[in-house]
Amino acid sequence: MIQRTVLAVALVAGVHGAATAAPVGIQLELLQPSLVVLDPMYTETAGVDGRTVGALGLGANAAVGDWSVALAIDRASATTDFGLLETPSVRLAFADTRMEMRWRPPLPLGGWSAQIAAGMGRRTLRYSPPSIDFTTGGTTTHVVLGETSTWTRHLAAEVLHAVHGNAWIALRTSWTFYSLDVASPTGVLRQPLRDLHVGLALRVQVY
Amino acid sequence: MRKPCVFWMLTLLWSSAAAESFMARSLAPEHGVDVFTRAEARRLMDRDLLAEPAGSALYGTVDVYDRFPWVESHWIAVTSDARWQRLLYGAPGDAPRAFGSADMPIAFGEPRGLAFAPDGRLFVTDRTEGRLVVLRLDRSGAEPRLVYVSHVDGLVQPMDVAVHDGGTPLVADDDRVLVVEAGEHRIGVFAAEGDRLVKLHEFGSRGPGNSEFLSPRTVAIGRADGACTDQVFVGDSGNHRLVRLAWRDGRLAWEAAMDLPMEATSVDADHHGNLLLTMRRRNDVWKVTPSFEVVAAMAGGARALAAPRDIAIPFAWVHDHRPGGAGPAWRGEGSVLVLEAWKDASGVRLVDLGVEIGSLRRSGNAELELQLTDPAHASAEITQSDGRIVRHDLGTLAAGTQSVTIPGLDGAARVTLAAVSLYDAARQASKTLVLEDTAPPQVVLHGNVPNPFNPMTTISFALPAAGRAALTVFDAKGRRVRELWSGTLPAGTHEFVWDGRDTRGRAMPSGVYFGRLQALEASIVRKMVMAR
Repeated sequence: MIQRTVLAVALVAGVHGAATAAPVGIQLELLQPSLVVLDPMYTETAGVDGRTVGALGLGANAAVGDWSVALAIDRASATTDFGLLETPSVRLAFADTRMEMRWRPPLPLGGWSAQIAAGMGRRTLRYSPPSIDFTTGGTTTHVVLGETSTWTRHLAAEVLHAVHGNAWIALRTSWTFYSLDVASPTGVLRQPLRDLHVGLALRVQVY
Repeated sequence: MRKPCVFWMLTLLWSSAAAESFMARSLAPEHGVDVFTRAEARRLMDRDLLAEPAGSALYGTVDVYDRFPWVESHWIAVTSDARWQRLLYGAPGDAPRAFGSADMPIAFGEPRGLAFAPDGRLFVTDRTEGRLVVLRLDRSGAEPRLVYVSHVDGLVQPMDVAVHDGGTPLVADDDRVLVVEAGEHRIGVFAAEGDRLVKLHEFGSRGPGNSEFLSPRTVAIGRADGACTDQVFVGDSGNHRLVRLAWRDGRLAWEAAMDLPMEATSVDADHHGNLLLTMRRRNDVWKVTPSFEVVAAMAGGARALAAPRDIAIPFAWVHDHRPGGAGPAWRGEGSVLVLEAWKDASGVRLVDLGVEIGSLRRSGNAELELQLTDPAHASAEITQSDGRIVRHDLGTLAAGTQSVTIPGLDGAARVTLAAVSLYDAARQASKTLVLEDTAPPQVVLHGNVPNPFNPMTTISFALPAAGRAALTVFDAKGRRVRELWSGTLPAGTHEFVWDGRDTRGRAMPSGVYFGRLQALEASIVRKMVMAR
């Protein structure tokens, strides 16, 4: 909690400091396709079929000189049969909402530039269908697959290319760090997890 | 992570598609792998993987929670490789590991039989070294590993091993380990004292009689609802028979034997107690009840399998950790892996146990005789002649032939019997029988259906009145092959299934056969053609 508070204060302070020095611009991030490499826990414990899943996102950011604040949402999904025999797959959806502070070093090179970012967010894991019935040895077990949420932090690095002067394409790599309470035969363990996102973002200046 | 090019994904790729009967199905349709063969191993992994797989075993754990990840399951598949002198094992998604002589203080000669105890110990017979090796599944690391525990020397050609849980899968102290010693024609019984195994007694000697074996090859423990019963089954290779033993005062005792057409290369009991026998030279798998009734042969007959040598029935610890959850239980699955000859066209095959209604006939005024291949929830729907429909829940019925009484089942009616697998409600079978009210004016022997057939056919006939009837199958030379029925029957239509075998259970060759009905002073013969 202290870490999140410090991060939020830093974000606000950064925006405030930059606003005194430069005009404001607003960009919409219309399309953010990416690949997510999930933490191995998802395959080893939760039985997800593969670690790499596709994600789509959108967002907006307010730029103040070399600084900007962005708000974005991402949606990804994976499938799992929980490693069970004879059980249909269910979909595990990842819903991320994140806010981040970006800084672009003043080093433009022929329409190319770079940007780094740090931020925080909220992740929700949701299964569809929200329950399963599985059978072992003739005994049916009904399991309700509830929703799980957790706070996340992330770091990102971007390579940007200007398009027509008012749009940019960003090649973005980010690492999301978070903890999840994971049940085990010996009790609930708080596990630190890390996902890797690699994707593109199209940003259009609207103001 | 499940890599599509990893052998052990195959153990978990039981698809959701339900099979209709006892038959092989695609192992991993989403990856285009119907059968995992030597050619598939080369294509997917660029190596042969195995030289001569001899035995296989599957062990799993399933944990259920009230929070993420809600359900967690882990499986381990182990295969013994007699020629490359090692075990190959792994969890789905992991690269397979080898366990060989470098992983323990002794050397493997020819590892063959494998059996998991519910607590994760793995017992391995080593035929040429005359040894029983005890390993343990270590789950403390990121990936499960086999760890050497101990071994016992001095056995004579140990071929197969089975673990009796003492009827208490949750308790390891009362476990007994049974080893087939082919060279001494006997079964050795061991108990664990700490990490060591101690021989308690032996059963059997060389010979063809009771309490005797001739090169026994395989052993299995009877089961009921996952736990071991007091029955032990031995594949007596040289005598071509399946032997049933029982525990009497802590020792094995002879009970009965059933003749087989040839040696059984493996015998295993599923969760509900049905026995599965592989017959390598016959390319067949039989399903046999503990009382020695052959209830099914694998669909597809000789074309379905290639020299099957072992069966792995997945058993798992299921533990519901939720408040009020059921206690831990040791449970077996309704799909099994069949290990065939390791060649370019054969290898590891997935087989559904399924459920079928083998035969259905009226055996009395309000009584039906039916044969189930597996235990099932059964129900009957009776459509009366006036159109009224009455449904009866017959409860859970055991595998094998049995009679059920259905109140009000008299006169003309159409009876549809439905059986739902205890493993999976999606697996169902049904059969309809039309009961005639007015008896035919004379004895009628209908043609067999199908005709030609391979290898099973149904012969039906109708009687104008109750009386004695005999239905017998003869071959083209007039030799009596099999008597399908001899006894009293009520008036009406009756159905009998001939499975293409003679009285001793031997499969008959292709050719012309004759079904003869003798009833009420009539004698009628019909020609049948078997085309294998």
